[in-house]
Amino acid sequence: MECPVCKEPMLVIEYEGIELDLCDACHGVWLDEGELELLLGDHEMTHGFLTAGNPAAAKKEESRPCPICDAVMGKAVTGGKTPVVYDYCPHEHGLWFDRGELLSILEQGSSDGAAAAVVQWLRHVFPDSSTPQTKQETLNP
Amino acid sequence: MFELIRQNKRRSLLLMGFMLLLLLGVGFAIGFAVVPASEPLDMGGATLYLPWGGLLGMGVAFLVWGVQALAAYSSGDRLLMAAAGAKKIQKQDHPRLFNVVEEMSIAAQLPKPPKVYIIEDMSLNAFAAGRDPNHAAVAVTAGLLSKLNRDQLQGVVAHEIAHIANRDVLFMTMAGIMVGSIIMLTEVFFRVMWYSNIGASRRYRSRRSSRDGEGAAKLILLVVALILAIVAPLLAQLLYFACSRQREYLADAGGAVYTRYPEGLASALETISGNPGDKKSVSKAMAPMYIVNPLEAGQRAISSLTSTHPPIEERVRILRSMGGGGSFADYAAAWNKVDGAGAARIPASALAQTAPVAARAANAQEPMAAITAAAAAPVGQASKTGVPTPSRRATPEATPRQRQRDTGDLLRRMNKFRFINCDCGIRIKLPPEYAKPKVKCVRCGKIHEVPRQP
Ligand SMILES: [Zn+2]
Ligand SMILES: [Zn+2]
Ligand SMILES: [Zn+2]
Repeated sequence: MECPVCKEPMLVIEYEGIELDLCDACHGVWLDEGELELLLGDHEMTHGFLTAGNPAAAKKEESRPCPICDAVMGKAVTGGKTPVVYDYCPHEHGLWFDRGELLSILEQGSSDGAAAAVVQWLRHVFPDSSTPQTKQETLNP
Repeated sequence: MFELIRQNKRRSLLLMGFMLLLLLGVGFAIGFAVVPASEPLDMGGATLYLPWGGLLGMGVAFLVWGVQALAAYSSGDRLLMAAAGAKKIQKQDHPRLFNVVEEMSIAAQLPKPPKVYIIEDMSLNAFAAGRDPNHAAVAVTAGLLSKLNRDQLQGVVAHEIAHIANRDVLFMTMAGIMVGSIIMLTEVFFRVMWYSNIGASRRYRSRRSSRDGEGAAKLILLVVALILAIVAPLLAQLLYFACSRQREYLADAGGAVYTRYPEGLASALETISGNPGDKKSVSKAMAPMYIVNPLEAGQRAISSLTSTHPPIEERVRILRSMGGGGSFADYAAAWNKVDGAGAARIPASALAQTAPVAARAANAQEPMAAITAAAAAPVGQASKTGVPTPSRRATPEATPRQRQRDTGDLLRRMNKFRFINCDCGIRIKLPPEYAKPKVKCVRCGKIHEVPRQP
C-alpha cells in the first residue's frame, strides 16, 4: 500500500492486537475500516464526535486518493476545541489521518476509561508525535 | 455411506451419459447444418446418404469437451484453483484452518486431508476441487477465515469435505465443463445459421434441382437440429442443476454429521449469504461449485429450476430443525419436516448406519468455554456411529480481532511481506516494495536490519 500523500510504501505496525499502516516519511496513519471499529470498540460517543465538526473547515485541505481503491477520499471534520480534518474512503475502505491527527482525535473525543486506553496505546506507539494538530495545519499551506 | 456414494455415482454416470448424448447431438446438428449430406453412395444396391458433416460435428463436439475435461482431470485441482485465483498454503501459514481441515477429513474418513488453498478476497465463500479423495483440495476466501468463528469454519470445511467424500467434485467439474461445451457449441451453431446461406439458399436454388424426397428429409433434419440446439443447453443445465442441488443437501448433511454441530454450518451459511462475492470476480462456470453460489445470492426467491443451490433459508432451516441430533437420520427427518420429501432422498443405508448421535455443544464463544465444552463432549462415539468424533481442539478459539490479524498476516506472507518483531512489543510488517535496508521502530527507536526479500 502506498501513502496517499507521498506515495512511499507504507509500513504496517501491529501493537497489542491493533494494526495500522504508517508512512515512514510523513507519519500519516491509515486505519482500515475494521481496524477503526476495533480501536473504538462500541463507543457511540466517539462515532458521533467523528463527524460533529463544521464541514466548511475541510475546504482548505487538498483531496487525496484512497490507498486501496484510488477513489478520491471525502473529508470529515471532528468536533472538539481543535477540530481535526481527516479523510475517509467513499467505499468504506478506511480512514486517513495526517501526522498526529489520530491521537488528537482520541484525546479530545474520549473522556472515558476505555478510549483512554487507546490514547495510551497510541502514545506508546508514537512517543514523539503528540504534537497538537493545529501546528500541523500551519505547516501545510 | 457406500450406498450413498454408489447411488450418486450411478446417477452421475447416467446423467453424464445423457449429457454426452446431448453434446454429440448438438455436434451433429452443427455439422449437419454446415455440410448437409454426402453425395449418394451406392452400397450394394441400396443408396445411402452419409451425413459427413454431422459425424464430423460430433467428433469436434466430443473433442471440445474431451480436451477441456482431460486438462481439468490431469491437472487435478490446479487448473480450477488457478482459475479461481487461489493460492496453496502450508500448515504454518494458518494452523487453525489446517487443524479444522484435518479434523473434518478424519471425521469423513478421507484417505488423507485435502490440500488447502486461499482465495485472496474479502468476500465469504469456499469450494472443493480434485479428481478423487486422494487428489482433492479445498479453497476458502480470506474473508471467510477472518469473519467466521471456529464452529462456523468447521461447518463450511465439513460441507466441502463432504463433497469430496461423496465424490461430487469430479462429477461437478466434468458436468460443468459439459454444460459449458454444449452452450458454447450451440452459440457457434446459431452463428453459423445466421451467417451461412442455409436459410436463403432455397430461395435461389431451383426446388426441382434436388429430388423432392431428399429435400424434405433435409428440411426435417434441419428443423430437428434447430430444436435440439435450442433445447439442449436448457436441458443440460436443468440436469446439472437438479443433480447439484441434491448434492448440496447431502453435503450440508455431511457438514452437520461430521461436526455434530449443525448450528455451525447454519450460522455460517447465513453469514456467507450476506457477502458471497460479486458477479465480476467469479466465473459462470465456477459459480455452482461454491458453498453459496455467488451468482444466485441476493435472489431471495424460492429455488427455481435453474438454481444450482437450494435457497439458503431452506438449508439453514433444515440444519436448525435437526432438534439436537447430529446424524444423517436427523438431517433426513429435518429435511422431511421442512420440505416434505427429504428422507426419500437420503439412501436408507446411510440412515440405518447411523445410531442416534447427539449434537455437541457450541465451542466457539470464548476460549474457556471451548475447553470446557470439549472436555464435556462424550468421547468414544466413533465406533458406535461409524462417524469418528472430531479430535479435540488443540487451539483455543481465536477472538474476531485475532482472526482478522491472522488472516491479514497470511495474505501478507503470501504477498512476500517481511515481519520484524521489536523487543518493545511492536510488530513491523514491511511490504516487498520497501527498499530501504534499515527500518526504525516507531516506538522505541531501535534500528532494525530489513530481512532480505524471501
Ligand atoms: Zn507519506
Ligand atoms: Zn477505497
Ligand atoms: Zn521497538
